[in-house]
Amino acid sequence: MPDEMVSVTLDGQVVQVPKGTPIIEALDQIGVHIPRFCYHSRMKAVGVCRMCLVEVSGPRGFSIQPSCYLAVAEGMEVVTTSEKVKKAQSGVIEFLLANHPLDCPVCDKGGECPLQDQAFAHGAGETRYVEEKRHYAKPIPISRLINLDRERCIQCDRCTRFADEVAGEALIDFRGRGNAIRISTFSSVEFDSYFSGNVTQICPVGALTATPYRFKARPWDLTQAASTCGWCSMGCQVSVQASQNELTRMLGIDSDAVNHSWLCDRGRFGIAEVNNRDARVLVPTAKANGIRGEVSWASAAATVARLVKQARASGGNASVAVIGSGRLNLEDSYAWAKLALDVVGTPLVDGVLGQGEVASTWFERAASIDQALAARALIALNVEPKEEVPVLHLRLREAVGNGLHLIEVNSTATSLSPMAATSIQLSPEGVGGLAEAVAASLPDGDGDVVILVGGRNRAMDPAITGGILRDLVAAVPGARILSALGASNVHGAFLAGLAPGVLPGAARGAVPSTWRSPADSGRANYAGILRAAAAGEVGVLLLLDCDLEEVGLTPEAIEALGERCALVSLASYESATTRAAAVTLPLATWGEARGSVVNGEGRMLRLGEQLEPAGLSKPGWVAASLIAGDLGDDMSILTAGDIWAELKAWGGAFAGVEPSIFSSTLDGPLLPVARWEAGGAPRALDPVATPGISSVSRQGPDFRAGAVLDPYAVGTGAAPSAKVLASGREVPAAVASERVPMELGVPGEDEAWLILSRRVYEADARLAANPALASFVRGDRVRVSPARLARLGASDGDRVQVVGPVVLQAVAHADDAIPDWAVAVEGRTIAVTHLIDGAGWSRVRLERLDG
Amino acid sequence: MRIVGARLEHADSHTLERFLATGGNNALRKALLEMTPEAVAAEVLTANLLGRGGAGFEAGRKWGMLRKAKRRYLVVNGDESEPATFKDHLLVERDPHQLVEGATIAAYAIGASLAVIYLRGEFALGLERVQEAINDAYRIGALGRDIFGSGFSVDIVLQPGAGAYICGEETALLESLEGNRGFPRIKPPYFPAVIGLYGDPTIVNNVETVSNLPWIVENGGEAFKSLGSGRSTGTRLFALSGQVNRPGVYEVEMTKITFRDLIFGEEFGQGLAPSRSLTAFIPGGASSPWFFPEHLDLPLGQDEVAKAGSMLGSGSVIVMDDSSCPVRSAWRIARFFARESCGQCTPCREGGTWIDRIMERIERGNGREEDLDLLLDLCDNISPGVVWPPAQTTICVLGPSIPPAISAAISRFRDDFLLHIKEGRCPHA
Repeated sequence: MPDEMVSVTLDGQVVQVPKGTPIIEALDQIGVHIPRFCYHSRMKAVGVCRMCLVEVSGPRGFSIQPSCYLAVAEGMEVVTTSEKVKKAQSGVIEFLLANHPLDCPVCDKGGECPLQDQAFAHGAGETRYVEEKRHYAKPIPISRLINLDRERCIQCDRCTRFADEVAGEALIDFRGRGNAIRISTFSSVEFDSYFSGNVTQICPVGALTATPYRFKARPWDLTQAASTCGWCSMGCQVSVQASQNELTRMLGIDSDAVNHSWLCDRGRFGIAEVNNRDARVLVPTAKANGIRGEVSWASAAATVARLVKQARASGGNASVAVIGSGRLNLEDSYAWAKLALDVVGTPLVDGVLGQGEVASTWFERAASIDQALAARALIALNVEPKEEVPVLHLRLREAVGNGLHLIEVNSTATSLSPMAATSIQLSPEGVGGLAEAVAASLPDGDGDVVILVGGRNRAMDPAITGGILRDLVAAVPGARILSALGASNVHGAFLAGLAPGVLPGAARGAVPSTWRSPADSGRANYAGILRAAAAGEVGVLLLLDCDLEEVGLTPEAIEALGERCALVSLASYESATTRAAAVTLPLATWGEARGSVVNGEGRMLRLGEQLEPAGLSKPGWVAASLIAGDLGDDMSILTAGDIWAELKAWGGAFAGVEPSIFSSTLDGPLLPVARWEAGGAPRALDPVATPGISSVSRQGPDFRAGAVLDPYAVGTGAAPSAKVLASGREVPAAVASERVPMELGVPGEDEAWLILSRRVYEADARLAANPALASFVRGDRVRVSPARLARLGASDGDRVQVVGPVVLQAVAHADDAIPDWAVAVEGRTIAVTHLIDGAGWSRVRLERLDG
Repeated sequence: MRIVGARLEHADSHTLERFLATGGNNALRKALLEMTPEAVAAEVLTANLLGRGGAGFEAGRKWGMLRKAKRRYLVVNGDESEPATFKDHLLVERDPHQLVEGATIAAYAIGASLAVIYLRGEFALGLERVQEAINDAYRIGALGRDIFGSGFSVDIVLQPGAGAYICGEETALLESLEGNRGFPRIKPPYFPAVIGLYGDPTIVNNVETVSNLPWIVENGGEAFKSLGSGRSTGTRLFALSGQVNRPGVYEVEMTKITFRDLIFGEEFGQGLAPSRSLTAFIPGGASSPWFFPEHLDLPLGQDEVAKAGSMLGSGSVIVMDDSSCPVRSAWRIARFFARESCGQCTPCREGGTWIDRIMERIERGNGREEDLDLLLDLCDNISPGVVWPPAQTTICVLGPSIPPAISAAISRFRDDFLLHIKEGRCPHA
């Protein structure tokens, strides 16, 4: 339905604007910029800073009114250029500057400060304030990430509104009144929010600064590029900024389709791990006689090729296997898919950690985020957006506030529960009839039903979720799917063919001439591959940005696996996996290579480049190309442009994908581009809402010829430097387990199903490498129902042990929210993931510790 | 002529016994049992009862603007906190039953199922007595379910304020009632009659306004209108204070006496101290423009005072004689408002404190000549034009309450300011 239009006169110009538009936005549309501080297009207007005063006609003639607060009305006249308006605006600037310190030269905001800029544009130029300014202790660390300078604060209510209205976590608020009003946390409670970094971005002065960025750079010294956050599959649009070959800052770009300018702290401050060279894999390494030593790329690639040839010679194509985490970008994923399926010809390819089941149901029914949030009902299946795709949580909160009907299907209460109209428990017993129960709870009415699917419980094989999803799609005809699956490019990896049972583009047409005869990866699953490898059936296991600790293997198990087969680890960060690998190849990480990713709505998004790859790191597709060359087949991939040409040739999801596709949109096209309506007016970047990023350059994929770089870049030689590994250890039972996913079995009397909820701050190798965020991992915690605890003869606060493939000892908390069949575990270290037994839905025993 | 103060001649005017013995609840019975809500509202409209809280808007017209909705609320504003304003204080302590009766009548007339009496938190005795009056009313069936068998039900809740003057501003009061900070809402669109308490249409009436209702119902709107003249009908309470011999609260028929009568009259203020002369007086509370000796013969009528460039406001008349320092007086007013600013919007938060600091400097002898123009310009940036009635760059009228005193003091007592500056001290100290 088109908006009702009203006719208004803005500075003498008669224009038609939709009814209800704030005057300030109507003025923006005709290019009249009204100065502003408190106004933010993504939050409710409060009209408190009084900077945007204009003269507005009313029943009693013209009066001074805040243009952010007042909406246009038929026949309204607005004057922005009168002496009265100018006087009022300069008066407000003077008032704001009265108590503002003159510390611009040392203020992080200096150079991109709305107060500075608007004081120049609308202020008097000289101060008349000779009184003593307000003084406060400063800066006050209101969290481990955020510093508050109350002297600089202009009380615009942006941060407090964000915390309350957008994030739903009112952990900061005004305190005091009048001249003494100030931003404060409550008592000693930290401003501990996944979204706290946003307040530093929307603060119109230097009152709120991010600790990792403090005094790091001047904004005019930063280079920047548009990119897509690399942490999860939301695909938040960002400006990534760098100085002196180090990432300094990340800001959210206001993408109407995706993130509305918001970011989560995990994404925003994730740059700290990229910069942490100590934690990075910098050079290729290879093991000789169990000793890890640095080698050249040429030597490393040749070694991998030799290992692959040997394995194929002795065990056939299926003795080479590929496991990926879904983090490689689209170009890398495609090149590795081609290498694995076509050059090597192995069917054992799971580049998405078992999430291919979900992805294969997803793509044909993919719903955009906007569609999902406007649906008749949204069914949230095994997902907690706040922990998995945090910014979607913000969009979801807004949508529920606007009336979205939410049905939650999770094993325990989550941050969704308070918003959900219905909560249905996802229990091991109820998997069979779940879809029918959900379908029965749908509200009547027209419009789409959208299923939001994620991977909340890590102790549950994604294949189980995939099965429920298939049932749901059958039970709710026409249902569409928005995916919140884990890693940043799991959807792109699937569409690139780096997942079981799929070819590039998810196409079913003819194989293009650039391929020969790809293997059928069928129903390969990382768990099955690991079992095969442990059983000695795999000669070479290629691990693509995948740390096996994250899927439940202990460092000992990984080491043992490395002795059963040759592990090849393409990785950016050192981990138990890189240390156990026969060959480690340094992978250019986020911010170091251009490319593209696909988010959970099937939107293709660009990755920008701001750094030289650390050490000898290379993009993943370059590594694939080098290895292919040593296998005697260069795959005809010499530039990213070659990849794009092949993607287009595959068609399917990539039908019509041209390199120019990014230039027609700020966001990025939904795939296939035919379902996407290009040409929607790009949202104007609010220079105050997103300071400093209105001019961000938008890089496409890297089509530069010769981007293969120098394949013979040489390492420092093969001097043995690393530790000698122990050998001859047995493969632990967890890896050798023969249990099959989906067959859940019956737990023993003292057994329970494990709930290991995905968290924003997962204790993985990358977080450990992040000095800004590492401290946010929560402590060990075991939660069980009071009844189960009682049966154990234990009470709240007693120490217990959770026995699975490993034993975890921790304090038990009685929690009504945990079903009786479950044990919920979260932990400070990655060790909790070792409780995952790799068999469908992991089971554990709970034991009481005496004393 | 006494209306709201009729019962105050009795020492036990606050008791239920005295209330009932002096016609208490007769009006409520009449309204509920013999009149329709529309008829009650019509009498109030006829009476032309002007709001007694400060703005002086016709109560009957305000009621008529109430948006139709399933839920409506009545809020009685008793957050009387301005210096020199103390008339409601008297009513809540000395005739709380009249207030409860009036509130119940108002709730009936506007169709409110819940009424809230919001009293200044420092009114310890008032809170105690109003709560007792509410309890009494419930006990005798004058409040709660099916009042006097009329079928009309309403509850009254007493809410103490928490010490912020700004919560007397009606929209800040509603925020406070909702459990939020006392930040005034922006009008438009948040006119309480349209979007009030919890988003529902709400009437906010002053204690004295509501206390007039029993008399109007009992005697009719015409009888009320026959008192006073023009738009100023009935009687009003005036709180007389300052350098006057007999300060106090006086109920007078509107327009029938002048400020000279009030300040100098034998039955009222009884003049100034010996050998003192009047230099200025404030006719309607701290925020109103000052009057001077030439205004003494103006009658106490709303339009008469408005025409002369000020307002009757909250009915607080503050007298200054030649022993008082006008700089200090204006500073005290500025300081009060600066300290009571909610801090939400810039001109009031920053401008108010700035003016306070400059005034303090001048009073303490550290002023500069250019400070006078600066003060007037800062006033202009809070209240463009420094005109009356005031324009505002602020959300509410608290900030614009400062300029009238400053501009009056500077324009009338410029020499005093210059003397402070020249001598580097307060000549009155």
